[in-house]
Amino acid sequence: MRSLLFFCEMLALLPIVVARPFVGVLIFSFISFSSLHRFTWGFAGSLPWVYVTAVLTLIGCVVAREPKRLPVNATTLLVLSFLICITLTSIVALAPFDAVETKWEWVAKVYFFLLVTAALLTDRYRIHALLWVMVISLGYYGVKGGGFTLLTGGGGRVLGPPSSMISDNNHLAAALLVTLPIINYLRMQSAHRIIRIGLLLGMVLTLFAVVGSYSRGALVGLAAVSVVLWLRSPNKIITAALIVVAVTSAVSVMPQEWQDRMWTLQDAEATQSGQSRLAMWHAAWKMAVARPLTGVGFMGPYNATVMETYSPGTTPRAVHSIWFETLGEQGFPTFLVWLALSGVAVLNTFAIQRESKRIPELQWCRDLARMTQVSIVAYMVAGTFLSLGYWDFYFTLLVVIAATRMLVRQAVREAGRALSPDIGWRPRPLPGMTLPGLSVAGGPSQAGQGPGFRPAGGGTRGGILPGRQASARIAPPARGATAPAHGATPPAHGVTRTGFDG
Amino acid sequence: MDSIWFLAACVGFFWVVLWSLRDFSKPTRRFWPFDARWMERPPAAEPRRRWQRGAPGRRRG
Repeated sequence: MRSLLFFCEMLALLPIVVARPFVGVLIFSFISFSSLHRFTWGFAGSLPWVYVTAVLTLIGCVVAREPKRLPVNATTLLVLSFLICITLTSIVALAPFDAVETKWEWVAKVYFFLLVTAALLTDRYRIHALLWVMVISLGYYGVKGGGFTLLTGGGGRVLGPPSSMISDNNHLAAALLVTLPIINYLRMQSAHRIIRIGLLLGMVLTLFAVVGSYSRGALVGLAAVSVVLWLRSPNKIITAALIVVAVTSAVSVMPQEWQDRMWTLQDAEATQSGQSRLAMWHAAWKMAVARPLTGVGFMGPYNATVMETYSPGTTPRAVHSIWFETLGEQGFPTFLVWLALSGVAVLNTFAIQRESKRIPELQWCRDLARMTQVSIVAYMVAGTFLSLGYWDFYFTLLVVIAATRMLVRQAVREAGRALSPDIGWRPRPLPGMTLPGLSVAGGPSQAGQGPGFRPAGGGTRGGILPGRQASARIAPPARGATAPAHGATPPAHGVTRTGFDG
Repeated sequence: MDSIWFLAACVGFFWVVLWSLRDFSKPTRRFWPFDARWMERPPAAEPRRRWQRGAPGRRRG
């Protein structure tokens, strides 16, 4: 039955992909992130959905007239560089060719599709839709796992989908930690009360699933996420109270066995798991130092011969660290490119907050930037103990934030003629004042609801600013006219909101 | 129970695709699952304290 349902859904959606390739991005992301087809227990589980979707999307990119352009920015250039680098390191990889080729094919496919995703993320609606797909894909495991933990009293471990990157309990827990802030972003951005409550419940259940995974690395990640979420939250007291209540309730559900396991974190190096991780990190470092330009290539640390060459006596297995995994397998140049992807994303989030703070309609960008910072920290901290170096979900999030930065730049440029810069001699409009020539009706709360809703670009679909603000064209002030300084009448709250919030 | 979550994920994904397909340049008050309020920040609460509101009869400046 599940198989038939999944098959019919895909059959209904796939023909649309040729005409609307962005739908292909959504399907590709959904199947890649969730691996839901593996739970169909039927013929639909073995069909090559990702491959078919990718081919149809590429055809759609060529034939469809949907807006698309590959943006040239630091993120896309780094993704392209990473693709080239991993191809070069795979040519000289030390593991057997078949194993290297399989892994290279998978990673190259993911990173190539990141470029397609970047080309099709051209407006806010698409960004929002992709974020919903990301949340549904992993939220499925969060909600299901949280319910399972509650019903069993933490008696069983929460696991991910089989034969996927997040099948392991540790990997799933780290993935859910990265997803938590995105769920929170969607909660903040939904005016539907029931949906907001539903997403809040989803967050709580996801938290239970993280704890119910019995992952010690995820517990460390959870602590880091809580701190950063609190730091990035505008209302610190309420956020602190909510975090304490949620985490305490989740921990109180768990049995003594869970607590015993977590207490081993106090002396992690003494445990067998801790010792094997340290040994693998050491081995990966030795591989990177021995072959600094190329590393040992994909699957090197899993190969007994490679391991015997560079770190005799160490058991070949997963490196269990995003940092050492990339470094040992790919060498220093590729590692730096990989690291720069996250670095650029962090810079993008700060730039979005800085550049959009004077435009109230871009509040969603600031929210997304703040939550992405939390997700990045979650990945960095929880990933320190896991082999998730090439995880597609995280890198899709980095592409999303790069696309958001492009939209912010575009919006600031559009508004730039009226919004005077921070520096310079011209008088700056003050909070609450109406700029000459900028007549905007309806605030963010009314945006997009009435018949006057028009997206940016004078009638074209999509846009950056919601509602009429998007199409408001700002006339330059008359010569000699200056913005009124102090004493400008503020607009009524919730009725009209123009000017700045900075 | 597992099948319900599976169904919810499939329906949710199907909804997102349909939502992304709609033309947002048209009026959005049609049918709530496809309106633009899915990506609209709820309005902030009215300031209630006197110092936030400003004294009656006076304008903040």
